[in-house]
Formats: sequence, C-alpha cells, structure tokens
Amino acid sequence: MGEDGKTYFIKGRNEATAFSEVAGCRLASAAGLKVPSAHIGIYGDDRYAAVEAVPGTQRTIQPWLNHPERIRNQSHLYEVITVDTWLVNDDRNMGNLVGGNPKDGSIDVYMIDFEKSRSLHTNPFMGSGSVEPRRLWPTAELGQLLRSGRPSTRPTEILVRVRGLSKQQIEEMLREVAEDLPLATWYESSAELLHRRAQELDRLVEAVWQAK
Amino acid sequence: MASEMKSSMGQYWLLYYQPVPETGERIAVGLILQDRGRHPQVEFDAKFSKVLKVFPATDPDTLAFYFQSLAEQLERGAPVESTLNAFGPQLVASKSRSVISPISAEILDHLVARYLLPVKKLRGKREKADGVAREIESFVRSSGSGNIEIQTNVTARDVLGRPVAGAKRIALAIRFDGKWTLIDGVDLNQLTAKQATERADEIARTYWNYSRAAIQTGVEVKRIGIVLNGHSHLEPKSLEAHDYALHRFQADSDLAIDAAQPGSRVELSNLLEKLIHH
Repeated sequence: MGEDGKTYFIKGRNEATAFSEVAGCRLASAAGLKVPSAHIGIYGDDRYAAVEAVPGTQRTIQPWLNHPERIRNQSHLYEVITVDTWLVNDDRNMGNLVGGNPKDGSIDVYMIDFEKSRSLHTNPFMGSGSVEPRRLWPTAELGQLLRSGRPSTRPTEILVRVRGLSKQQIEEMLREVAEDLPLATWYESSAELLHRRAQELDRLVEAVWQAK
Repeated sequence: MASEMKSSMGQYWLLYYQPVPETGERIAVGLILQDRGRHPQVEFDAKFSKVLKVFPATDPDTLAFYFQSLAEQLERGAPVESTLNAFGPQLVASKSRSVISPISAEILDHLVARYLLPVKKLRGKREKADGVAREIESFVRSSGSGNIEIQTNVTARDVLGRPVAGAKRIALAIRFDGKWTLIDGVDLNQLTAKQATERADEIARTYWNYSRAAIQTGVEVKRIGIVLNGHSHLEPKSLEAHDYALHRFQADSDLAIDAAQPGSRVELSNLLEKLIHH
C-alpha cells in the first residue's frame, strides 16, 4: 500500500528491471494501450518499479479471450503486438494480461509486465538486434488464440500513434524515470533506438505478423 | 465391499471466488457435481446474494459469465480439474468431495443451501416459491386440464437430459410424446412487487436458456409464463411489477398469460388441448 492509499505491485529492487518496467508501461500507455500507472516507488533506501493495481482486477483471463466480444478494448489484444515489437518485448502471454473494470459481464484488458523489453535494458542496441520476429508474437495459449483469429492486416492506428512520438518526447519520458533511478545510465541509447524503431515500425510489425 | 461403496458415490467440488487473490479472502460461490455416468453439473445462485453481501463491488454478470463459460467447457467434455485450473486464481476449487449417487434434488438443495445461499433467504424463498407454484398449478388445473399429468419442480436434467447453465427449476411441466410444456409464473398476492419482478427475471432467463439448449438437444419445448392476481393490487409498484412480468414472459415465452384478463383460462385450455390431441 502506497502513502497515497493505493495498492501497488512492486518489482526490481534497485535493478534495471525497475527502469524497464516503469518506462515500458509509460511508453505503452503513450501508444494508446490500457496499462496501469507505473512509478518508481521508494521503500527505505531501495527503489522499485511500483505498478498500480488494476481496478476490479480479474486475473482469470482465458474465458474472456474465448469471448472477445466481452472485452471492451479487444483491439488492444493485437495492438499490443505492435508495442511489444517496438519495445522488443518477447514476454507476452496470458499471464501478463489482466482484466479490469468489470461491469455488465464485460471487462477492459490491461497489459502488464514490460520489464523484459530489450530496448529498455542495458546495451539496448546489442540486446535488441538478435531477437527474431517470430519471438515477438505472444507465446503459448495466448499466441495460439491470437493466431487463430488474426486479422489479415496488422492494426494501423497504433502504428500511426507510435510513429507520431518524437525522439524528444520519447527521451523526455525515459529521462523522467531515469532521474529517479540513477543506475539507468543507458536511457539516451534506449530513446535513440526506440525512435529509430518507431520510424520503421511498419516493416518490423509486418515481419512479426507474417512470421510462422 | 469397499469398491461397491466407491461405485455408488459421486463427487462435488466447491468453487470459491477470490476478488483479490493476493489477500487470500474467498467465499463459496458455486458447486460442480459429478454424478456417475453424467456430465458435470454447475450450480450457482444466479443472483450471487451471498457474494454481494460480503463483496458488494462484485459484478454479478462477470461471475455469471465465468460460470457459463465453465459450464460450456465441461459440457464439451473437458476434464473437471484441469478446466477449473484455467479459471484461477479468481475462482479456485476445493478438493473433490464424495456425495451419494445418484445426486438427488434434495441433496442438491442441501448443498446449495449450505454453501451458496444466505440461510434465511433460502427458507423464505422456498416457502414463497412453493406457494406460487401451488397457485399456478391450481390455475392450470382449473383451466380444464384436470386430467393432465403435471410434474412439479422440474429441472433441465429432467427435460433435456442434462443441466443447463442459467436454467433454474420450473414450477410445472407437462410431457406428451416426448414434447415438453413448461409452466411457471408469478403471483402478486404472494410476492411483493420486487420479488415478483425478480422471479419474472429468473423465469425469463431460464426460458431463454431452455430455448437455446432445446435447439442443441433437439427436444421440443414450449414455455408458458403466467401472471396471477395482477389487477387485484392498484398500487403503482404492483401494477408496474405486473406489467413488467408480463413483458418478460412475452419476450421469452411461447405464451404469456395475464390471469386477470377475460379469456385467459380459455387461452391456456386451448393450448393444452392442442398439445394433447396434436
């Protein structure tokens, strides 16, 4: 429980994980996904990624995926692939989707867990280069479900939103997080990489979309 | 001897709802019953009264959706325990428990009362429901259907051979040549306006679920909804409840009968006559 009375999930004590999680959440939110608010939380002398609990959290997600008409923001199920491609996050499965705001038998889906985004870790250029497109498609049951209902063309609106973020905006978002985490000395490299990837995101996502 | 005893036992699982799994707080919200040689049966209180008393922020439609999904998966033959795992951590199951097989309506009522309903509510509900059912039976019999064999307190398993998610017991049912006529309704002399609208909702929902399940199973089912004593109360609330109940039955029944209207008995009698001599 935070001083503000809200419930937070914390991770990444004094680690790069804290930076990648908070920065990843904020970038995904800027791209238009539903993502819980993320901050750097201080506990004693330690710093953590502190992610707000989703209102009315529904951790049971599989039944909703079988009835996507009950997911108010169902387009996000595919749009998150664009964001994960942008951030080079190869950790997307059913466990890092969370339902929220349940009402009248429908929910919103929130995306969580961006801490494995390689573009936000130390040596972002080196870490991101080796990731094959097929690894950026969600894995396990989520991957299979999305593959079976995959639209023929990739979502375009989110591509436009990501491309519309300037290098300055990206750098500003990362700097804000890095100021609370002095260890995150690579944030400028991350911003440079993310700006470049945003400019060629159509091609990168198409490769993921077509990968078997 | 031991194996004989084992073969006459069924199983059931209690399902708990955990609004915030991290806190460990939970409440019993449903039952899965596995009778010998039958598909597992999912039981829950469609209004989730007990849950809402303890966790008022819960969305009952979301819980109903979980149970419908669970029932769908089990009906397709999915194994019980692995299916239940997919509904965690919001819904968690107890270890399986033994129960005498076949699982009778009395055993089921006992388990539902013990785990799923607030005690007072069940007792009151059952007394009121019995009274309404008796009154409806009396109305049906007085419509010239005295010789018809009428079954009471009928379940989806009786009619369709399997449980149906969201389908509650029906007050009366008549069976001819493998075709079923289901009859239920409200009585504004016995129920408050609120209770009448709730019962009408429950019946309409049950009928709606029957219509879907009947198509799948190929069993022919006709549904009749009756509103008794709707005009003997002139208070706006009762009148509204009367009109609403009739509306719900018109939407989800094959025949909606307003017992206060002249000719309503004849209408019912004609329909039953047609069924018998068809």
